[in-house]
Order: sequence, then C-alpha cells, then structure tokens
Amino acid sequence: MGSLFNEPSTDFHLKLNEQLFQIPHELLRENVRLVQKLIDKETQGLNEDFQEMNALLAENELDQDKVALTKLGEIIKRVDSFEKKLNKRLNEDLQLLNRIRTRVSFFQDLEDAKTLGDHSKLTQWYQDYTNLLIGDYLIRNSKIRGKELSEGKYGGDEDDDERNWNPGVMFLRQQHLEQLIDYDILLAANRISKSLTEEHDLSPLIEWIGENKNFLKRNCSILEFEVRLQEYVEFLKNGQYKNAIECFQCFLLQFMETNFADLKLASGLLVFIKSCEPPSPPSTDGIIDPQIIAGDEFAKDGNLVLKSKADVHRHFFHRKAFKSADTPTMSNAFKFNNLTKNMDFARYTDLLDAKRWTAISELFLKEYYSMYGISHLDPLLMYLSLGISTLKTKECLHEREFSSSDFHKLDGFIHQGVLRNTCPVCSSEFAPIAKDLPYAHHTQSKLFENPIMLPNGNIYDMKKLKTLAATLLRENLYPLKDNEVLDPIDKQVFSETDFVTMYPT
Amino acid sequence: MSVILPSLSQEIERLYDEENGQPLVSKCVEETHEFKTQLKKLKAHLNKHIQEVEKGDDEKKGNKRRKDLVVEKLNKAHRQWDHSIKKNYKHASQQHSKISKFLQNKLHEFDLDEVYVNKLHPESRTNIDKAISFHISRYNVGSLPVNGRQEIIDYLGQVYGVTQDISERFVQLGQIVQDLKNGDTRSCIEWCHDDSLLQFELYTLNAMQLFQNGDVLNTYKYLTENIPNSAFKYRQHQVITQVSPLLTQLLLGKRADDFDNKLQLQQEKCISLFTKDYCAQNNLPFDSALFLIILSGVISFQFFTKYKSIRASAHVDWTTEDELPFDVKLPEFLTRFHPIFICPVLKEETTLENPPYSLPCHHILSKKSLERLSKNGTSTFKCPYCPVNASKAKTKKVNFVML
Repeated sequence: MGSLFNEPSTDFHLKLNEQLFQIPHELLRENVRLVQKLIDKETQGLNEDFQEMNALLAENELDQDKVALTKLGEIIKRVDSFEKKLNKRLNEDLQLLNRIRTRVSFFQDLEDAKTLGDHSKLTQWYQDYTNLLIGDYLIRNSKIRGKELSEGKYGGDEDDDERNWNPGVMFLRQQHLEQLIDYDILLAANRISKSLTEEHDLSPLIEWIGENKNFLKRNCSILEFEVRLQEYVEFLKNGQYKNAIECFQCFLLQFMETNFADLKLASGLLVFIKSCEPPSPPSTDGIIDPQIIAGDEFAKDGNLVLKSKADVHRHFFHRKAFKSADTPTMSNAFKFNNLTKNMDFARYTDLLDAKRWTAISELFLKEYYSMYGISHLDPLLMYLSLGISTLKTKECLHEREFSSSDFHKLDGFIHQGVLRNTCPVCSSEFAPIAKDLPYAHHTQSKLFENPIMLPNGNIYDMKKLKTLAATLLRENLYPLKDNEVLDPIDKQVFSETDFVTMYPT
Repeated sequence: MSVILPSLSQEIERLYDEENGQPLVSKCVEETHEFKTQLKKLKAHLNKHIQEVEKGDDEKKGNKRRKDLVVEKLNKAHRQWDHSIKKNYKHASQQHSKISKFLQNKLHEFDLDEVYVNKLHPESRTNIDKAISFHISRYNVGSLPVNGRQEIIDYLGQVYGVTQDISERFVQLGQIVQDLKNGDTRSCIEWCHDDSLLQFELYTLNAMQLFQNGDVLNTYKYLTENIPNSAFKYRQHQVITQVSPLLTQLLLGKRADDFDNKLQLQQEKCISLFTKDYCAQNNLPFDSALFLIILSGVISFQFFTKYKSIRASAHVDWTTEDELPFDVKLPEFLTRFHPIFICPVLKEETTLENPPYSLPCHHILSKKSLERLSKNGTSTFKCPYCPVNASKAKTKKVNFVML
C-alpha cells in the first residue's frame, strides 16, 4: 500500500472527502448560473437599446441624433453597471476556486509526506485532519447564541457575527484551516435547524424551501408539505383559525393527490380543536364518557394521559400561554402507547406534539446535506466509532490491580510512569463510550520482544524489565542487587536466573 | 502514488484562463470593459459630429460619412461583444460540467452514512465534548489571542466550553509556546531542566536569533559564554553539527542562504521538544486520545469498505457480534497500549475469563483450549507446537504485561 502507518492512499482520502470538492463546486456552478442569468438579461436589454438607438440614428435628424447620444450614454451606464455585477461574480468565483486550490494542496501535502516517508509530516497532516473533523462537529452542533447577547456585543450583521464566535469556526481559524471547510454551508444549516428546534420558528426554513424548490421537487421531498402542515398546526394552536384556513387553502391543497390522508387529518384537527374548546361542554360530544373526570392529566407513573378533549385542550393550549414566556419545549414527553388507548386522540395529539419540530429539523438537515453531498451524520462520530472498535482489546476497560509496597516514592513512580495506562480507549472520556462498541478482531498476537516469565507468572519484555531495574537503582527508588529485577505489579524482587524464556505464538 | 490528485488538479486549472491566470469568467469582464471603452470613444465621436453639425459646418457629405462610420462601429462592437461574451460563458459552463462529471466518476464511491454502523449513543455527547475540550486545550492553547493565566482559562471556557479542571493543566504550556512563537525564549529557558536536550536547543535558537539581528560580537559572546556545561560531555555531536557551522558563518560574517528557514525550523524544534517534555512531566498524553482514535478510524476505514464489498458480493455474513468483522493492521505506536495474545488453538484473544496458560515446554494456550485438550484435566496431551507432553496440573496461569 506504500504507507507509513498503514494508512489509506491519497486517492482513498480524496474519495472520503468528496464533499470538500463537491460543495465549492456546487457553489461555483450556482455562481455560473447567476452569471448566465446576468448575461442573458443584459445582452437582451442591450440588443433592444441598440435597436432603439439605431432607429433614432437612422432618422438622420439632428434632434434625433441628440436623443441617440443620450441613449448611448445610458447604454454605457448600463454596460458599466453590468461590468460591476460581473466583477462581483468574478470575485466570488475567485474565492471559491481558491478554496478548491487550498484543498488540492492539502491533499498534495499528504501525498508528499507519503512519498517522502516523512513520519512527522504525516502525523502533522493527520492532526490537521482531526482538527478539521472537530471543527466540522463543533460548527454543526454548537448552540445558537441568543440574539440579545450577540447584538449587544457586536451589533453588526448577523452572519458576520456568527462567524466570530462559533467555536468551530474560531478553532479552525486559529489552526489556519478555515479554507478547508465550507463553514458557511454548515452554519446556515445549523441556523435553520436550531431556529426550528429552539425557537419554533418556521420562517428561515420556508425561505430556504423557496430558494431550493427545484431541488426538492427533483428529490420528491415531503419537506415542504411537512413544513406547511406545521405552519397550519401552529395557527390552530394559537387559535388563529382564519390564518390556518388560509394556509390550508394556499399551501396544503396542492398536496391533495399525494397526501390526501394527511390533509383529511389536518382538516379533522380543525374540527377537533374547535370541539375541544371549553365553552362547548364535553357532554355535547357523545363519544366522551362523562365518567372520566377531566382532572389529572398524569397517571400515577408520571406519564401524561389525555383522557378527554378537555384534557387535550388544557394540555396543549393552556400550556401555550405559559410556554411562550420562556420554556419553548415541552418538558413532559408523553407516551404514544398511552395515547393510542385513548380512542382516536393520538392521531391528533401527534400532530400537535412538539416532537414534530425535531422531526422537521431532521428532515430538513437530511435534504440540505444531500443537496451538497455532505454526510448527514457527523463524520467525527463515524471515525470515533470505527477508531474505538479498532483499538479496543479484551484487556481494555479493566482496572489493573496493583499491590503497593512500603516504598511510597516507588509506588508513585511505577503507577504514574511505568504502568500508566495510556490507551485512548481506556481514557476517562472514551471508556464510557467504548463500553457498548465491538472489540477489534485480531488474528495474530501482538506482544513484545524477548518475552520472559517470572516465577509469579507475569511475562515481560526482558530488556525493558532490566532497564526498569537500572532506572530504579539510579533514581534511588529501590535497593536492588546486581542481576536483580523488580516486578512492578506485585513489587517482588527476582533474580535474572529466574527468567524463563517463553514462546508465545 | 495518487492517480486522482494530479488529474483533479489539472481539471481545476482548466477553470482558469490560460492567458491571464484568472477564472474563466474574467474573460467576460475583460470584454465588457473593452466594450465600454469603445462605446465611450464612439460616443465622443458622435458628440463631436453633432456639435459640428450644430455649428453649421456645411460639409454635409463628410459628416454623413463620419456618422455612418460611427454607427457602423457601434454596431460592430456590440455584435462582437455579444457574440464573444456568450461564447466565453459557454466555455466556462462546459468546463464546470466537466468537473461535475469528474467528481461524480472519480471521487464518488461511498456513502459515508452507510459506514457508520455502530452508532454512538446520544448520551455520548458529553464525553465527546470532554474529549474535544482536552484536545483543543492540548493543541490550540498555543494559538490563542490571550496570554495571561486567568485569561487563557476564561477564553477556553467561554469560546470552547472547556472546564477549568482541564484548561488549567495546559495554561503554562500555552503561555510558553506562545512566547516561543513570538521568538521569546526566556520563559522556556526558565522552565527547562539543566542539561536537558531542550536547554541545548534553546541555546542554539537564542544564538541564531542574535545572529539574525546582525549583532556579530554579541552572538559570539553568547555562543562562547552561555553554552551549557554539559554540552561537551553529552552532546558533542550536536555541538559539531549545530554550533560549529554557526561559528563559521559568524567568522565569515555571512549567513547561510536559507538562514531564515533554519531559524524557523529551530523554533519549531524547540516548541515540539518543549511540548513533549511538558506533557511527560505533567502526566499528560502527548497525543490526545481523540487524535489517536481518529487516526485508527481512518486506517480501519479501508478495511471496512473492503469488507463491505466482499460481503455484498459473496453474501456472507459475520457471526461474532461483539467483534469487528475484519482485522485492521495498525502501526506499532497504536498497538503498544495492551498486549494481545491470540490462543493458537482457539484463534481467539485471551480474556479475563479465558486467560493464557503456560505449558511445561513454555508454549502458551488459553484456558479453554487447555481444558479441551486435557479433557477437563483428566488426561495428558501433547503440546500443539512441540512433542512435549503436558498435563493440566503442570500448567501455570500467566499474565502478559506491556512495559
């Protein structure tokens, strides 16, 4: 494979990081499309202008010539503004191309390190690669800072602002890697997704859908439908029936063929909610058992049980008033099972549930990432899962037992230095994660040179054991005689003549 | 050797214009600019013509001809511009389509989301955040815009959410690395141990800095007076390769050609040496756990994809659930954390429940295979590797320890 760490080839890396080229290329194409629009519009406009001017000039009248001269002045202005617009596109082009070039040279560095056989360069490259993954993870997952906070501090335009505090962007800048990631794309995704889950605000997403209608249509996406449905549901939740009906007519009706059942449900919801309203007493509705006391919403086990329409109403609508104050998310997740038992409310309560926000956000991210060919799941997590399993041995995650000696300093030296477990899988951060992941598969033993067994059954690398003895002696940590070694685990002293050469396979 | 990279690079270069080295769109801009200048010129002509007609110069014929010429030129310029801007645009657009095809054909091979089989629990996030905190503190603390102790802790906390118990372990590392990056070696010299390699390298760095500033006498004085005492005893080789050339250049009054570059390298050498010493002294891992795991993940990726394609074509499935279905060959520095012993009979890694046992011939088997061979200790058996006979009573439980 021609590699130092048995790492994959440069080509493999390129394939793994396809999106590093795919995204800027997609943006470049978008830019080229804008150039085309611009050219189409301006060439056509100028054609008309020239025709007009020619007609004026053909009159061969002085006055008409003067008008033609003014017309020519206008044409020049028009060409000038066109040039400026083109220049803007050119700058955009230049920046995107620079990004791509930086990336090509990033992978060229990898290729160079491999051909030169330069260990430290290759290590450095993988450190940069790791940092990129971390930056990506941080950008995707960072919380959106509250608006008041950011405005107070910078006051400027929101986009710039975000780039100045997003931990992922900051980290990549400090590592000089910001050209290697399309953070604007990731930030935009995070912003729209968080406005859904944290602020329950549909407008940024609706705007995005408007800009990307063609793509969504091509992919037969249900995103737009789900979003409009949610908009409708929100209107109902807020008692804005008129708006809800308007929304239904304008945006939902077009889905009549594809989502007929959902639409039926949606219209049912309107009736359902109206019928839940307190002024109309539950008894008017024959389905509701009057025995059920519209009282405690929660069963003994703490699960929310909505037994009557009044319950439903109280749960979703009284909460609403109090919710808008400061807690946007519903704290009590109620169980689906409980609801299905309660007649047919489940289909309505599901529609009203705050979980739909998360679901819509997920759906959006999926579409968004697939548009740019970015993996939907965090690449960092993917590498971590694979990496942990690759490193996980059967000995991992077991605390080793030590017996201590009378020499305090010796114990410290041995446990801090000699026997310290440096395994990344056993580290306090990763041990809890590693617990549930599979082990590595090995077909061959991976031991050490010159294995020798001590009488207590411990097997060591002979050279290292002797080196340890010499160090202990030099540092005055333990009084050893010539040809004596100390077993660091049980702190017993053995003579070198006790060594038994082993033949592990 | 990479095949894709050169051709990718070539394709990208085609998005630039051969003549001016600018993106292809620049041709459209250039032409438009030229068109504008032409129009302006012709406007001036037209203007002049009108003025002359107004003045009443009655050479009607000449005037008419001049006007016709202007009109003709105007229309010609317009036609040319219109034609070539469309042509240029078309060319650019074609190049972009080519790249699309290239990316699709050459780079698109796997869907990353499919590789992520053993998903991490959502609760893992807090631990991952902690690992990231550690990693950022370790590698980024020397690149922060602040230098004071409390400021570093606050900065790491506010921007990266690093808790103080982690950040404070890296504060001094960050401060000294920042100083070194700024060319200030004092804090590092104070920190380092006498007679260490770091001390000697810092001494070299200092001398190079003095020389860089052009102060020959001071450099000479520093070189001769400040050399660490131990240098001649332990580091004769470095004295010859590092100090002697410097002295020679000093005497000749001429710095080597790539002196700046060498100075930079020496600085980086000191930073990396110091970081190593600092981590060792403070019981911090030199490579962060996160980095080592990611690297292992990258290495195993290729085995994973290979396994997937084999599985897809051969319709075989793996049976052991708690093990990866493929053997990943890791480099030595990623396998020295734990000893791995594979029982030669069972071909399984030994565990706490199934530990290794030594036979009288000093070959090693796992407990399970020992019980199988000895029929639960009821009979003697021949070692699978040599002709020596063994009984269960004569075996001994062993324990591999990595030092």
